[in-house]
Amino acid sequence: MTKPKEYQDIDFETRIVGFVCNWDAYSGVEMAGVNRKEYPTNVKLVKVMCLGRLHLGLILKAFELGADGVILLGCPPEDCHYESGTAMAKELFTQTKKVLNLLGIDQNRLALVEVPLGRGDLLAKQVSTFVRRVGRIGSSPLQSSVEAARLA
Amino acid sequence: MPEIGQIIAATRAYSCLDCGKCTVACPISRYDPDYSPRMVVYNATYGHEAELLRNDQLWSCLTCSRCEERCQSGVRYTELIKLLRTEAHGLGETGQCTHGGALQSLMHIMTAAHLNQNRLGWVDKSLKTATEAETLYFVGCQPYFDVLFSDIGVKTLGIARGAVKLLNHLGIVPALLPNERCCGHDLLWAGDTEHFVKLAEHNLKEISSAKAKQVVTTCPECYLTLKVEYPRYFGSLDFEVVHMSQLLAAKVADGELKFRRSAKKVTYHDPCRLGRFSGIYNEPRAIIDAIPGVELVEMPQSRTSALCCGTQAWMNCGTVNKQIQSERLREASATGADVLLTFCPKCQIHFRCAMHDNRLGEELEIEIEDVTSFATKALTG
Repeated sequence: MTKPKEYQDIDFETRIVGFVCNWDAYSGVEMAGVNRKEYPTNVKLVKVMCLGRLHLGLILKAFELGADGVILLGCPPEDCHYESGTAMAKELFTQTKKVLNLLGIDQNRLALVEVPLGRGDLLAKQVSTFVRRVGRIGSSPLQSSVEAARLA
Repeated sequence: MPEIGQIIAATRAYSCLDCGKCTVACPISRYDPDYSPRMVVYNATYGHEAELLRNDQLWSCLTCSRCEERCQSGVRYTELIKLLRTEAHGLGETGQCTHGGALQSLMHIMTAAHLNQNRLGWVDKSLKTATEAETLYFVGCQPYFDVLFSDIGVKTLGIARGAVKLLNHLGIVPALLPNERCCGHDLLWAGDTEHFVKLAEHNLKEISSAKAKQVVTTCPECYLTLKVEYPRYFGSLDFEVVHMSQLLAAKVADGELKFRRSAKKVTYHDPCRLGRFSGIYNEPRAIIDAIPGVELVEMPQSRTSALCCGTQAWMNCGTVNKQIQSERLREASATGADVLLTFCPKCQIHFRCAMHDNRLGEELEIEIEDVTSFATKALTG
């Protein structure tokens, strides 16, 4: 299969999990579809009602299961449907980065991005940038053990 | 069901007299009338396998061993629970994870072969440590706890710094492992022996590469797991496992360790892994008594009768557990002590969590400290 021209440099083996807020960020996902803005298919999106609903356990689970990177797609703070969701997501982002650092997992494998309402172009761009970034870091140090567990 | 039969034989469950002393002693049964250790033993001996293994209550037991302490027939209740959980885990059963399963994921992640942790950031310049040494300090998961539980003011790394400072004071430069894993205690007690064995293998390799002859821990769970469980799976160890309380108490008895005055009234909470599981009751008290000016007042439920800190293995924590913690904190306050001392980072985490209760918070408030950090503050010179 040939890759689209703009994604020649993307490693499609990179496994990314994206948590998306149901409101602004997910409208970005829909608009990207409507406007045919392509982004790499490496990203498996999980829709949540608000990024404030996430917790460390969910992000760590993604890494435990072999994700090379996790991207949190949220909303600008002033647009949050639950007032404090974005602030909570930022706190969680900081905490998770600290845990990843302790574990020796590159902190750049985690990103938090704010997607304003309906910005499909921005979403596609941010996701592609993240996939490239993680691709450059390489596969997760946990992946060999995940494979071993799968084969056992 | 040969497995259950073997478990019953191994844990002497068949000796149960159905007297119910276990249920009377059980802290969970006190607040949850549906929970009964006696029923668990009954179901085991009468072959009610489904009732036993497909039951949420199997995961609620605190494994605090108070029932075992009271049992006159010598039923090894905590071992029974541990083995039944291993069976149930094999059937795909599990307890309800607390903290969104973050700790379970952490433990699973640590089984990875190629991990390059940055877990020694807390070691400042004033502390003398080595990569290889006769004595090794096994830190435990404290660097992780402080990040995970920063919202409730958990600072267990003070224990780690205190431990190294105390060892340095005694002329010991301990080795620290840059890639130490979780000891696996909580996975083992949740029935997940597969991941437990992986963690243990990594740790044994790390410890042997540091050429340690003595491993000191400040966490009673690490102590019990390294000392008792590792040999069960890997045969006898070529190092000795010592809890900080034993090491310090011996030095106090020899007159090598002296403290300066500290006018405080304290009470001491016996962690179950240190007390009932390891029989270490006197050592922590000897250290506290060695600090001049410190008055130790005992809680009514102490030593073999000590009440558990209320939660185990990062699972099944709810109102019942909070009630147990509240009872213990009220008991501590009632002694009139300024400080509640304990010797386990997890007891501290669980009590701090209970103190964060919106309604009862202030009522339960008491200063809580680990004996290690308390003793460090009273060091001379």
